[in-house]
Amino acid sequence: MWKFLMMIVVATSLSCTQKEKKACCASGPEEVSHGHHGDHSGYDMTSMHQKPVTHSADSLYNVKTVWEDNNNKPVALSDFKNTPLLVTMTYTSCEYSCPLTLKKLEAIEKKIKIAKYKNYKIAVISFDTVRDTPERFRQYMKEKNLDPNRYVFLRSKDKSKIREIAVHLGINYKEESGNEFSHSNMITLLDKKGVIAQQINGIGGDPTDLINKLVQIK
Amino acid sequence: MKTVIFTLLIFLASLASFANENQLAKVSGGSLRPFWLEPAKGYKLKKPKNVKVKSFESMKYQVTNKDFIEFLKAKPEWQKSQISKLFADESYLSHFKNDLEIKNKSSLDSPVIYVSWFTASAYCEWKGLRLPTTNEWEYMALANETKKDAGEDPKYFKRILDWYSAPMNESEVPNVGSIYQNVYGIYDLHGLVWEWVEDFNSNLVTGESRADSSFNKDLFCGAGNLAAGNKENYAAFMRFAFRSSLKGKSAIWNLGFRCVK
Repeated sequence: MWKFLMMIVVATSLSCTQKEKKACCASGPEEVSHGHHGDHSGYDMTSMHQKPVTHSADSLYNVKTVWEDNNNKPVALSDFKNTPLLVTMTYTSCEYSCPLTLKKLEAIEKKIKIAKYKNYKIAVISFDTVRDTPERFRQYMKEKNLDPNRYVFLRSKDKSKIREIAVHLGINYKEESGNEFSHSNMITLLDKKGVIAQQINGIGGDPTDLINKLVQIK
Repeated sequence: MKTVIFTLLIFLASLASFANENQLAKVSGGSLRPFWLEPAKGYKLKKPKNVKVKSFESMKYQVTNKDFIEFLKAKPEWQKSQISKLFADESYLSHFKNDLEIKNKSSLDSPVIYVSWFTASAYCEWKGLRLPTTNEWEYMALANETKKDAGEDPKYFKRILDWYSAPMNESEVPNVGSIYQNVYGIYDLHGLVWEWVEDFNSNLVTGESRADSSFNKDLFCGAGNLAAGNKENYAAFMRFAFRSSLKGKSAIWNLGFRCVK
């Protein structure tokens, strides 16, 4: 019997070497109470197909969650129609690996600039339903010198919507005590129809293929 | 004799009521010792803190094929022929012969299988419920027939491990309620099919960076079992490893779900 159990675990461990996931900011000094509960203003998963589906079947535009952006405006992923989009998930109080993901994005931006490609956006979705407000986003973007014409920061107060988009993006995360999050780092390229075109690890992944794919999107 | 008949009637009535309705059982909150995270002797890793689990209510039974067909009738967008491939892979409801009927060898009172996380979440939402978190699931599943915490009971682990190692296939999935009822009144948390949890993707597995100090490395990768605190914890590692191998659209034959509130 142990042999059998071993086999399964070996198989699982093999599959996990193919992904790279890294814990980030597992524990922080700040204690923030969970005063807020998610509102339910987002879309209702059970009724989402009642309207005619206009997006391709594997498009993330089918996810109807309405986020709030850094300008306090409601935004859905489908609002980026016809624009290639780089998506990542993080939270602004994260001190360890998230800045590394941003560095990676910066490097990608530079290379895309060299290729003279302009019309794309970078969306950063936050895990933090409490501290990451639009004001906080704006402050963070200023601190990190992030171009508001390129970057959009998104939040939701509804934790189930955050879990859902993370599942779609293949991002694993866990809320630790004190409103900190352990999460894997992933940068996803959505094409002009919202379909996942390429994904790389936000820290160690080689961005070459992702950049090549992006700059070829007409 | 009269008493016997009376008892029998009550028994039949209770059977009938279970067939119609999946009632909720109360699970009083408490503290969950994450024994599956405890390092083996000699490992200089921190012992994990206990996790607080708030009181909640759980479906007594896993959601059955019969239950799920009701959902498919009410929400046709989740039927096999209509579902978006964003929400379920091609194995979705493989044991159905068409949109609303299961194959002959399957049973209506068996747990529904071949369902993705998205569909399981949508079903619970439709019922005004949700999927349990990993902590909630592990907490209620740690109970046996008599104790809320059977974590020290060798028989409890033997039952789980015997089940994990027994070969079974989709047409042999027993009916719900046929394995055991724990002290909360909840059936078949082990022994029937595995269950989706809301945060199945919360396991942080270290892959390439094997030198990472995260305890999870010792759980899932390479010599995970050797680092285990004790052999009994193995059953929990299995579940964590299994969950971390899933994707939101995975639909497989030995994975069902129940909802909580």
